[in-house]
Amino acid sequence: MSRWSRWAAFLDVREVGTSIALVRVLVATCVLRTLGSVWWSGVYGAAWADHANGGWRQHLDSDPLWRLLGGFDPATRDGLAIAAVVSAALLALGVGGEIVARLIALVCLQSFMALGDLNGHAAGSYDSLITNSLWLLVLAGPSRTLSVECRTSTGAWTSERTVMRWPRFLIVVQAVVMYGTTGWQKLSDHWVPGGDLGALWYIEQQPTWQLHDMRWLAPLYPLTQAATLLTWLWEVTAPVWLMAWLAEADPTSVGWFARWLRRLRARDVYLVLGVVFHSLVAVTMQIGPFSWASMALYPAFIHPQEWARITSGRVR
Amino acid sequence: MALSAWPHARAALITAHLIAIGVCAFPAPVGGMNRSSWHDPTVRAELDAWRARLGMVGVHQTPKQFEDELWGAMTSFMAVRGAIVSPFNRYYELTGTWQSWRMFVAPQRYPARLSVDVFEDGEWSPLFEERSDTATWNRAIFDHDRLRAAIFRYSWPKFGREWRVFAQWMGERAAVDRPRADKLRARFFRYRTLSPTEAAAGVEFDGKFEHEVEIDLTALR
Repeated sequence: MSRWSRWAAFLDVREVGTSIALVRVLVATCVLRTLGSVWWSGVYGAAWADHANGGWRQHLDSDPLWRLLGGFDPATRDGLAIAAVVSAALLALGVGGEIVARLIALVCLQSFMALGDLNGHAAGSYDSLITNSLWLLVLAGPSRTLSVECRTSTGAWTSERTVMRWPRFLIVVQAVVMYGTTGWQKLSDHWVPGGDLGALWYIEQQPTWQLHDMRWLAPLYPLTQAATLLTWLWEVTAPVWLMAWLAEADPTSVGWFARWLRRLRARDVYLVLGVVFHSLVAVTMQIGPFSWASMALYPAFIHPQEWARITSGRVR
Repeated sequence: MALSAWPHARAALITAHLIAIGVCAFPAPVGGMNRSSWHDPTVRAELDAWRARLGMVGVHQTPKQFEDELWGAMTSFMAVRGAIVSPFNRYYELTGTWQSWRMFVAPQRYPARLSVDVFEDGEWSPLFEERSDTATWNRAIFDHDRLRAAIFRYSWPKFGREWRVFAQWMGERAAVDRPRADKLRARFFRYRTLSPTEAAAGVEFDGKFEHEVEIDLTALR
């Protein structure tokens, strides 16, 4: 079998949809949380409105949907916000079969993207992470479990019906690309080994992202240095996480590296470090929904048969 | 077992997606392609650190030589990157698959804190100050992560025009919220973040105000 045929066969595998269903629920919930916070804080009328309507929005209208809709108008914006909220709720619930489920995800993606584009200065990497995730959910289609579709089709909320595995593979790749490339760009003297490893200390001192005054961390500076090194290593070696996921996906895969990754439970180590890292960021910094949007992808790292073992209490 | 045509076609499409996100995500000095921002003290310190590091391996250059060569390399790299990425631009645009993961690449050692005051009853009084518990005007809005991102951008010189538009917007809100105020003053307090030793010793921030904009509120009523 040629390499290409092996690649095509790898992408042709089917599996129970538990992992992708959990990603779907978490990403959709993240969209709702993100839009909700924009609304409740008052940012909606400030950042997503132009001068004539009480806002200051700038860096405008690069999104194709706005061009299609004839440019900004408060009523159109409100319509898109309603479409985003409704479609995100339907996506979380898992409504629709092959076509409708994809349409719902597509509406959610396009409306969220257009809203995020309303003010390019008031945006973050989490917007890109969410839209990337939504596009992969468009490609994935219905997850066949943990959904209204499952309930109406089978009479139960969960089912063993299968879905394609490749969308989950793309989600794992997306997470690894995000972590890896952000790590490879951390070239500051405060990040790289050989420097002072003061990056996390100094980032925690930046008023822009602080939740609280973090000067109290001073006696724990050596710990922040260790955390800096660990974070940097975790990010720059993210491709190993993908290899570990592949090694776990096929327990029969041979080769010393795959066996070594399985023995060290490398995938689980990366996963736990990710949860710890994002949880610490969430309690010390205000960077929006980035931590939640990142962790929303984590169920994709767990294989469906493992969810079955976890829920039945038979964790290895 | 031989696969039919569709799995091969699907594999080709998935491969194209992976190439698209791979080339877009590949490290690139996108944020550094404005040479005026190289005067920022944080950027200067990073450049000096790397020049010193090169000196340790025998590459000795003056700051100007180092920066000129770096700029040349960056410009060439970005031209090649642009040519590789451009065929995928429509895909990114339609599917939201832009890859922009340049996050916290370097800590901002000289951050700027937004400070907004109003001139009321013959004196300046603080209205809003980032991370303050006393000057909290419109805090729910200003403390939101989207506003933090915008304010962070506006503290850089290259966003001078956008900063003045933002200050004008704050003035319009203040004109309504503070009917007795005559003027609004918006500015950034830029300071060097404290080292752990300085923080432990209780050293105060040392900095200066910059990018000051004054808005006449009486003209806005």
